[in-house]
Amino acid sequence: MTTQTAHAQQPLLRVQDLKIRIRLDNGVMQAVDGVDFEIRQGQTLGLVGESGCGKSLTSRALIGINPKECETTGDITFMSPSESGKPVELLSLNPNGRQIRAIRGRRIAMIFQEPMTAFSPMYTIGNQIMEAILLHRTKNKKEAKKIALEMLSKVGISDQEKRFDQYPHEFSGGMRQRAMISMALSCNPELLIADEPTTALDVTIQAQVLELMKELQQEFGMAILLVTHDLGIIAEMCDEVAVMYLGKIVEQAPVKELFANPKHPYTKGLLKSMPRLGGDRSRRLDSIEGSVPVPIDMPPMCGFYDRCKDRIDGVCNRMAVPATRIADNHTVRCFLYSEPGEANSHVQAHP
Amino acid sequence: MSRPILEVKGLKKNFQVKSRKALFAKPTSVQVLNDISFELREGETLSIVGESGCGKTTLGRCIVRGMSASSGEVIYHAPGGETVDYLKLNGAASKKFRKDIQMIFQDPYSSLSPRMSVFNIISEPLIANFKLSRREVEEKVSSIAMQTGLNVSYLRRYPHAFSGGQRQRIAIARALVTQPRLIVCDEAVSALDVSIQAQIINLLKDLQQEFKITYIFISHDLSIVENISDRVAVMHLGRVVELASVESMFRQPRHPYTEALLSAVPQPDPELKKNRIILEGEVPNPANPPSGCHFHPRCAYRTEKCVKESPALREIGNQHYAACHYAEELTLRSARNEPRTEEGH
Repeated sequence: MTTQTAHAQQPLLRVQDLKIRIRLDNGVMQAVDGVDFEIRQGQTLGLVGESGCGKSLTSRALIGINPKECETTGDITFMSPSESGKPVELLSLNPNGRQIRAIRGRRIAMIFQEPMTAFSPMYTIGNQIMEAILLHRTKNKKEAKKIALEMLSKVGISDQEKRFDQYPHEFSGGMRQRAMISMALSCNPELLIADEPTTALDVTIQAQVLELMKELQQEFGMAILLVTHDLGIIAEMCDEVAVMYLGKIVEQAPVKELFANPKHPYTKGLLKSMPRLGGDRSRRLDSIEGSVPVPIDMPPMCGFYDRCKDRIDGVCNRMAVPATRIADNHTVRCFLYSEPGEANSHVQAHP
Repeated sequence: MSRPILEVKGLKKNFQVKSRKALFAKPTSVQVLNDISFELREGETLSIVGESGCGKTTLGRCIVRGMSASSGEVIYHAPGGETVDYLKLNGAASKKFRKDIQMIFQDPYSSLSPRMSVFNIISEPLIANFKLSRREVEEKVSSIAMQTGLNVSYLRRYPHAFSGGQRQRIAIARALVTQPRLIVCDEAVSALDVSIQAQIINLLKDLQQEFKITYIFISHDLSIVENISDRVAVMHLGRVVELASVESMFRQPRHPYTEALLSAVPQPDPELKKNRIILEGEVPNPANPPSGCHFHPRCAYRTEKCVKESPALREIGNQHYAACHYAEELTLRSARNEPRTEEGH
């Protein structure tokens, strides 16, 4: 949990009705289908879901690095406090243009799941960290190196001078992820997108990296969009959570509320299917039957319909489900909490 | 207590690694498994946990002979009361016993041949091990497919048509079809999504009940391990550092490494105030292990003795084994993160 600084609660980034379509040989895949969320300054928003739910595509869309095949529509408004309060519409920018490049890496930085593939094997770690600094902060190489060394020491890499000139293969997995974090934070971004930052790491190293991210968030005051499939990490790191299923956010709430009071059958299912330490061993794990459908040419219906225990036949499979606000910060996309007649009164996650 | 099915005695495995120092330098030997011994009882699930590089996968592979061990024995107790060294089986004996131990791999995307239909994948071990008519093969395959929750009408399809969870079911069906007594599951659910993971864990448990199968369950996920196992072995740098029943170990770990592993698991509960133990540094390089206790550079409780002397795995009490000089004295935290109430040192 982050400390609430004075500028907290100010919105930093707002996503409205984000849709990503991918044209395939056998139809159009609606990979992300109307996602709304908002990240406030200094806050951590968790985006949780299973593989293929569109969480990575969503996070990548924010800085325009999805492959060309993705048709992205919607609004992504970035309200950087340093840009004299002028909101920037990220999706309307040319993905290779100067404006987005001034934001990407500088104001919004990203760390990826697999640090081995995210680093180029041909350049030294120091060289790659300096690249970002030289692009955005200074033209002086000596100064850039100084900043890079400082960043390496901040993320807990000892013997920085030697490490600076080493190649990614000489680093262990945990070290590489640390180096990646130092690269992402070298320009002091306002938003850090972390896409499964610890999935490739051992639990002990994962604990180190998560702890490091929390410390650095305190120090730099950045907001984090944490994309993960692990509810344990969500519980530990996030202020607010959005649960994604099949391209839609099915439930969104502050972290304590979501874990104490889950509403959507999918969220409930996920929480129940996780084995927990110290849990009842004789109990069978509740599993969610079936598997995630492929969202190609889906009719308007609830994507979870086939696997849902509480489905309402004739309702859930007939129309698209609107998001319903059931408490102050708690929205859920399920007909159990809204009348089908209200299907048109679309409620935004954040007005 | 049920009778033993497998006894692993002094298993060692060395890998030859090329030295980076000189082009023609002699390869150095890295000890990946260092004198592993344990006993497996019929019908139980023994989990093997540890960080990557600790040798847990190598151990599994050496047992099924997917890799040859450098030395040591794996004594197999056959159903008729015969005991054989599984690692030295050959010829007719090999044919007779090797079908009794099967393996399930981590990644169902690479463990199934994309060029074989699901029916062929599942029937291959049957055809290799038994003399059966076509009809019998078909009957056996469809009955096992049904038991593992596969749709029998899809058996002529190829693996690419199936999702990850379905593929893992295919892999389980293939392992089960020879009616093995022991299955080594190497991270069998790690590549799956949470909701599918629970399905597969339940399936493995059901099959164990039905066919009285013994599992060696290799995993890094301690929450799953707690749920599925009867006993747990914690490995660190090629050695077993703690071995105990799951209740005993999770309630009262006796090795600081186990304590740290348990503490590092992120819990899906935001109310839980965790005062977690963060291990400093990384897993040491097995090619150049630290002196004394291999865990000492990362251990918060280390003393002079730990740097010099390597602790042996010994019984602390009630079938609870640990390799720590101070196993009796230390007050270690349980899986629920409450400190033990007893006096520490």
